[in-house]
Amino acid sequence: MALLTNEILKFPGTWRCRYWFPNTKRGDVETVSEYTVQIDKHDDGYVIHSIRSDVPNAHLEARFTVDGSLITGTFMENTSPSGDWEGMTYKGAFQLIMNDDHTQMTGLWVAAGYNNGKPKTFTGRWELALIKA
Amino acid sequence: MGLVTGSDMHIRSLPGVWCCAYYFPSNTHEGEDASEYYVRLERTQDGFVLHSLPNDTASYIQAHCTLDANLATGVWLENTAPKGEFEGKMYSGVFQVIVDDTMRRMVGNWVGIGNDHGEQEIFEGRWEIAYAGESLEGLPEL
Repeated sequence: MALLTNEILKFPGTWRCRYWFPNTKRGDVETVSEYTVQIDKHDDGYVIHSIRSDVPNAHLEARFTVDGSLITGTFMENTSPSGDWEGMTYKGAFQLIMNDDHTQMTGLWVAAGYNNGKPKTFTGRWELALIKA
Repeated sequence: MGLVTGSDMHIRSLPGVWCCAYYFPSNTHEGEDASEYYVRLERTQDGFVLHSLPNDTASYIQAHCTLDANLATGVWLENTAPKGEFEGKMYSGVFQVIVDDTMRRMVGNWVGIGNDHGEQEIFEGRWEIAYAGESLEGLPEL
C-alpha cells in the first residue's frame, strides 16, 4: 500500500461537494448540504473551499491528503445564518475513495451535531464530483 | 468556548492508561467485533496523540487529533496483529469523539477504509476511549 505518496495531483475545475445528514429539525429526513468548490494544492496536501452554496452565506472549507486512491481529511462548515442551522459551525473529518480517472470521490464523514440538545457525533455519506474541468 | 459544542472544558492533561475500542461489523458472526487497545494519551499544543502500549499480538494503533474544548477530531492508523484475522493489514481513518464532563470517557464515531468482498469501501462505527487505570498493572487482558 502506498502511504503518503509524494506525487502531486491536480484537481482543476469546479466540483460539486455534497454530504447527506439526517435533518433533526425535519423529522430526521435525509437532507443534502451542497456546495460548488475548488480544490487547490497546499503544503503536503490539498484544500477545498466553497465558491457557491445553495443557501446564502454558507461556507465550506476542508483539507485532505491523498494516499493512492484514499482521501483523508477534516472540514469546517459555516451554515447559512438564514437556514435551518442558523449560522452554526460544524467541524468534522472524512475519508473518501477516489475513482481511477480522479473525477469522483465518495465516502463518509463524521461530525458532531446535536441530538435533543446534547452534542453527539454523527456519520453520513460524502461525495465530491467534478462538474467542469 | 467550544465552537461546535459550546463547552468550556479545558483539558490540561490526560494521564494514565486508557482503553481505546472501536466497533465494526463482524466478518465471522452476527453483530459487531471490537478492536481494543490499552493506550496512553499525550497532550499536544492543539490536541493529543494516542498510542497503544505493547501487547502480545504485535498489533498497534496510533492517532492524533485537535481539541475544540471537549470535541476531538483526528486521524488514526492501525497495524493489525500479523497472526490475527486481518493478517497484519494496515487500516487508517478519521474519528471524532466528545469528551464527557468527568474527562474519563470519550465517545464518538470512526470512519475508515476496509474491504467488502474484495471491493474497497469506506465504513463507519462507534469509537470509545475510557480511562482504565494509572498503569497497566492489574488491568484485565484485552
